[in-house]
Amino acid sequence: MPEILLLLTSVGAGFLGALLGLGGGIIVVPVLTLVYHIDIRYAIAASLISIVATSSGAAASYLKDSLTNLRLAVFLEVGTVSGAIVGFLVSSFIKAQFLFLLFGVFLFFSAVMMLRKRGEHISTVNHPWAEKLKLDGEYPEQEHRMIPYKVQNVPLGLFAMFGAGVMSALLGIGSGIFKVLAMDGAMKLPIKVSSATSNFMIGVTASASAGAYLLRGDIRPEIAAPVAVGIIVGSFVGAKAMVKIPAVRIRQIFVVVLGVVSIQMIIKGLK
Amino acid sequence: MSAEPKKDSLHELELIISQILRGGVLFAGIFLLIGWLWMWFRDGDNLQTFTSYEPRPLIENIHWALVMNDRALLVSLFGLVALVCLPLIRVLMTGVLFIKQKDKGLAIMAFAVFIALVGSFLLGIDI
Repeated sequence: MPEILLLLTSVGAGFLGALLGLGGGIIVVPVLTLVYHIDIRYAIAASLISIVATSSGAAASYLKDSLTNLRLAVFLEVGTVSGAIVGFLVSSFIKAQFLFLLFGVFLFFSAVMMLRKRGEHISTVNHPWAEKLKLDGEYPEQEHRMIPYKVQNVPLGLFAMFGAGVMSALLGIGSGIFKVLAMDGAMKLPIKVSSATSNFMIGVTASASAGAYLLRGDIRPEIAAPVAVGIIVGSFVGAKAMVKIPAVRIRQIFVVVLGVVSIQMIIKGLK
Repeated sequence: MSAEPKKDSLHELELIISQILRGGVLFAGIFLLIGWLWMWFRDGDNLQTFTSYEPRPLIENIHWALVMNDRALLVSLFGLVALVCLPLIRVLMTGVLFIKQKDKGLAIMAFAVFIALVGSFLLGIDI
């Protein structure tokens, strides 16, 4: 019975994740550890597998909408993948307790970030690297009008992506929050472009450490299969339901839930 | 003037990439589901065995499944491997896309990401 419950919980996590524009990892890892008492390292590895699944499926539709900046995504993936490699290597030396603490702090940070209002800005100046690699682009606004944008602070953005990669491998998250923060804040990309490009990159970041965890033996099908299948189904339904449900209200409730869960994770880390 | 048809063929390649990704997720997902249900009907719940951390390397797991003729485990492991390889295919095909675009710099970067991904997978093998 617990395994069927796990499948159902994962459907819920995928549904909620799609509704709120989050990966399932932020929900799945606390559920697996706090409710099912599964070791956090198995939970992180299973979460990474589900991130690879949902983002690969979603990347398909992102490519069509011309919001994703494919060139920028590939450039920044150099940063996230190297970060993920470092994260995986570091993970062998980190105690489970510390992972709980780090996850708790990350959840708290996510809750704060969800309350933040993202200001729209369009940069008109390119960083020299962006100029050389032609990283700027244009995106469609209403009535199919294309709006051109430039890219700033490329080295800082790349460095932030490295950090996002480390966090992804350590905590089993897609670390979309960090990616969006780097692209919005440092590189001054339009909101829609940074969200779409971040979502597109998540799968590659997660697969870097997921592959290593799989070969090391941290990914066990008994956990990863129901979680991944549940999240695939849940996020598919969630994406369809998105237009019909008022996301703002759910967001507010979710911020409170995140706060409570973050405290629980920190307490478990301190025990 | 020649930019338009070139853009079209690139767009086509992008669409092929997205179809492969979507099909791949479905393919891997089906293997995962079948393998897991098969194991669950046969062995029942065993989540409680994962409350303590004792990793068993994938190679050993496959070897064990082959020796014991555990087809359910093999099916689900295949699903996991297929799933993890999807982003690899995506990066490789993006590299090809940039080559077709005659964009050397980004093609090299895409292949660098590909090699880094393969390298990171191999880090999981305990030598």
